[in-house]
Amino acid sequence: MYRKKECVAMLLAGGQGSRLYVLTTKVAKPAVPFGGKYKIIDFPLSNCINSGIDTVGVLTQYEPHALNAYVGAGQTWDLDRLNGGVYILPPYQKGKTSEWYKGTANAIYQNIGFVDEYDPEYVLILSGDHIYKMNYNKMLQQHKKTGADATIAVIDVPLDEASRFGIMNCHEDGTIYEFEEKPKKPKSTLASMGIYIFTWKKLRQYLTDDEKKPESSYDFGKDIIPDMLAAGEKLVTFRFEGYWKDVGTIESLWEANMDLLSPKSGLNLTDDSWKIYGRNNGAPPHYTSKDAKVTHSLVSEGCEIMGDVSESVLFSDVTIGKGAKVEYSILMPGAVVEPGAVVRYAIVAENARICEKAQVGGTPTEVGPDDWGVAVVAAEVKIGKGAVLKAKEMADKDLPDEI
Amino acid sequence: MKNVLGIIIAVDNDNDLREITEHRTVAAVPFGGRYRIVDFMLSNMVNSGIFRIGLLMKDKYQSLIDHIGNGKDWDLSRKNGGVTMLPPYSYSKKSSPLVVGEYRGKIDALSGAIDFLQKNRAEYVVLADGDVIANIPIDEVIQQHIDAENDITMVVTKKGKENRLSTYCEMNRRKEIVDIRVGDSNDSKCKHEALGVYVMSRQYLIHLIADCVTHNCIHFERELLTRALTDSKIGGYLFSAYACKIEDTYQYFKANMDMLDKETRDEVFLRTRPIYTRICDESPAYYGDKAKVEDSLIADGCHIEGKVVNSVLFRDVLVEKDAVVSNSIIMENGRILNGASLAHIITDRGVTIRDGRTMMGHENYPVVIAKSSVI
Repeated sequence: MYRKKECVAMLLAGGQGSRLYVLTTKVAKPAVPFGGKYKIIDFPLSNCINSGIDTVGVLTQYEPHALNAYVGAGQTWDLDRLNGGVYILPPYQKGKTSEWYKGTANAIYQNIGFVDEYDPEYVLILSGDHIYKMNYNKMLQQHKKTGADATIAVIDVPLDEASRFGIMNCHEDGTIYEFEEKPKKPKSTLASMGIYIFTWKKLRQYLTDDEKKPESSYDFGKDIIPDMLAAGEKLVTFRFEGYWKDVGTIESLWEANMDLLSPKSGLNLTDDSWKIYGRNNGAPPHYTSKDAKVTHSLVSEGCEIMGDVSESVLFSDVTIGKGAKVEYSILMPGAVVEPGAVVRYAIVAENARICEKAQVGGTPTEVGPDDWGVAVVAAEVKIGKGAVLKAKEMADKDLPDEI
Repeated sequence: MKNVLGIIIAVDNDNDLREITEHRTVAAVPFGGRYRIVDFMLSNMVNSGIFRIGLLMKDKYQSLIDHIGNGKDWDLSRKNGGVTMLPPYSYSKKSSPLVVGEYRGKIDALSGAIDFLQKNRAEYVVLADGDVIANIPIDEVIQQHIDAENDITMVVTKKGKENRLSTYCEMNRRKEIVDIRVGDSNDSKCKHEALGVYVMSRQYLIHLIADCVTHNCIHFERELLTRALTDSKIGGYLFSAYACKIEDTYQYFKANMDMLDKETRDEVFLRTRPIYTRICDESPAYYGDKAKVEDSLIADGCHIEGKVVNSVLFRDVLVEKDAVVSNSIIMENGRILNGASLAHIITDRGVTIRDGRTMMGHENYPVVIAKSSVI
C-alpha cells in the first residue's frame, strides 16, 4: 500500500505534568480539561487537522488510559483515515531491548519505524501542554522555502520573563546561532514554543547518533538542538504571533481559562474558520433557573445553574445549587456545588462535590498577595458540609463535614 | 438486539407546524435547544441495541438527510446495518406488486420499501413515528412483546388533552388492546393514547402490508391496526414517563417549554440512555456582564448580553444588550439585536430581529417567524 505523506506530526503526550499536582495524579497532562468543553490535547490535534496534517502519532507513557480512550479512532478531529489518521504510540517491547521513553528525543527514536512507514520529507514535533491556535502549514512552507534542516517556532516574550524559557538567539534572517535554556541574562526575547519541524532524514540521523551517547538526556532542547547547532546545521526560527500559553502549572491553567473570558486575550474559540474540536458527551443545553445569576462566564452543555456564577468557566454537567456562589473559578465536568457553598478563585476537578455551606478558595485581597493562590479540589473528592479549603490549598482526599 | 430491525417513519400525515414545516419534515424540526425531533427515536433504538434502522420519508427530506449524514453521531455508521435512507421511489414498481407511486400515508411508504423489509433477516421490527419526544426503553417493549406472545405490541401513554390527530385505545387489565380509535376517545372509554411505536414480527408486518395494499387501505391506525385487531392479539406497553407527539405548532411550543421543568428533563435526558445528535463543535455559551437569564435552556455557542426569560435558545444565538426574549424559542443562529423584544415567538433558523423591534404572540398562539427572515 502506498502510504507516503509529506509531513507527519508526532505529539509528545507522555509527560505527567507534575506541577499540576492533584489534577494529574490519574491522567496525563494533555488529558486535563480546558476551556469549558475541551482537553489540552484538543488544541494541537485540531491545529493539525486544520493545517492539513492528517497523520499524527501521539506518544503516551504516563497514565495513558484516559488519553487512549479519549483519542480513540480520532473521529472527533476527523482523523479517522484510511491512510494516516491518529495513532497512540506507547513504549513497546522490542526484539532485544524494551524500555520506557527516556526523553522526548528517545520517544521519537523508539518510533522511527512508525514514521518511516509514511516515508515523510518532514516531521512536525508537538507537545501536549500548550493552548494556542497555529497554522503549522505556514511553518512548513517557510521550512521548505528556507531549506532549513530544522525550523523552530518562537514567540516574543517580555524581557523580564525570558529567563523562564528556552531562548533562541538568531541573526536578522532568522537563522539561529545559539540556544540557551532558561538563561539568567537573556540576549533575546524569542522563546522556543516546543514546536519543531525537522527534515526527517536529518533528524533520523541525529536521533540515531544521540541514542549511542550514554550521557545524553535524550531531549530535543538539551541534546538534539545543541548538537545540530554545533554541527553547523541550518536552524531557522518561525515567528508566531498570537495567543500561546503553557498550561503546565495550576496558576497558568487557571489564567488561561480566565483568558477565555477576556475579549482582548487573543484566544478566540468562536472562530468558525479554525475550530477546536473536542469530544462531546451529548448532554442537553444548560439550564439557568430563575434563582440563578450568571454574568461574565462560559457555561457548557448539561449544566444546571440555580446559584450565582460570575467570572467562571463551567464545563459540561456542572450543578450549582441554590444560593451557592461561584467566582473566578473553573468547574470541570460533573462538579457539584451544593446550596450555600462558596467557591472562589478555585479549580474544582471532575465530579468533585462541594457540600452545603462549604468554602473553597479566597480572594487575593482577603489573604494578601503573598499567601494567595488558586485552591484546587481533585477529581471525585468531596468537601464536607461547612468545611473550609483555603486559598492555595489542595484537596486530594475528602474533607469531613464541619457542621 | 441483533434480530431487530428499526423503522422510523418520517412521513408527515396530518402534522402541521406552519412555517416550521414549510421546508422540512416534522422529524427534522429542531427541538430542545440542540436536537432534531428524530434524534429521540433514533437514540431510543440505539440505546436499546438496535443498529439496523431504516428511515422512511416522503417529501421535504433534504434537511433530514443532511442532519443524519452517515449516522456516525448516533453510532450508526456500521459495517453491518447502520442507517438506511428510504426516500420515495427507491424501488421500481417491477420489484414488487406492492410498490406504489406517490405515498398517501404510512402504509404506502412501508409498501414502497417492501424490498428492504423482505431482504432483511431480522425476526422483529420496531415501527416508530419520527415525531415523538420521549426516552422509551424499546428493549423492554420487545421483551414484553415476546413474553406476552403478542402479535403486535404498541406503546401507549395515559390519554392527555383530546386531539383530532391522536390514536386512542382501550386496554384491558391483561394489557390487551380491545379498541382503537383515531381522533375520538369514545367519551373517554379509551383511557390511553398511542405513541406510534409498534413491535411485531417482520413476517407479520409484511403480511399486514400486503393485506392492506391489495385491499387499497391507506391509513395505518384506522385500517391496518383495526383489521389486525379482529384476528390477532395486540398488547399495550404502558409508558409512564414524559412523552409528547409533535403534531401542531402549539404542541411543539409546549413540548419545548416542558423541557424547562427539571423533572421532565430528568425523564427525557437520561445519563444512562442519552439522546444523541449531530455534533457541531461550538464553544461554550458566553454570558456578558449585564446578562440576565432566568428559567431558560441555553445551547453552546450562544452569546448573551441581554435578558432571556422562560425560553429555549438553540446554538449560536446572539442576544444583544437591552434585548428581551421571553417565553420564546430561538433556533440556531438567531440574532436578537439591541433593544429588541420578543414574547411567545418561535423564530426559525437564522432569523434576525433588528434593533428595537417588538414581536408578540400569545401562549395559545405562538407566532412563528420563517427561516432567515429579517424583521
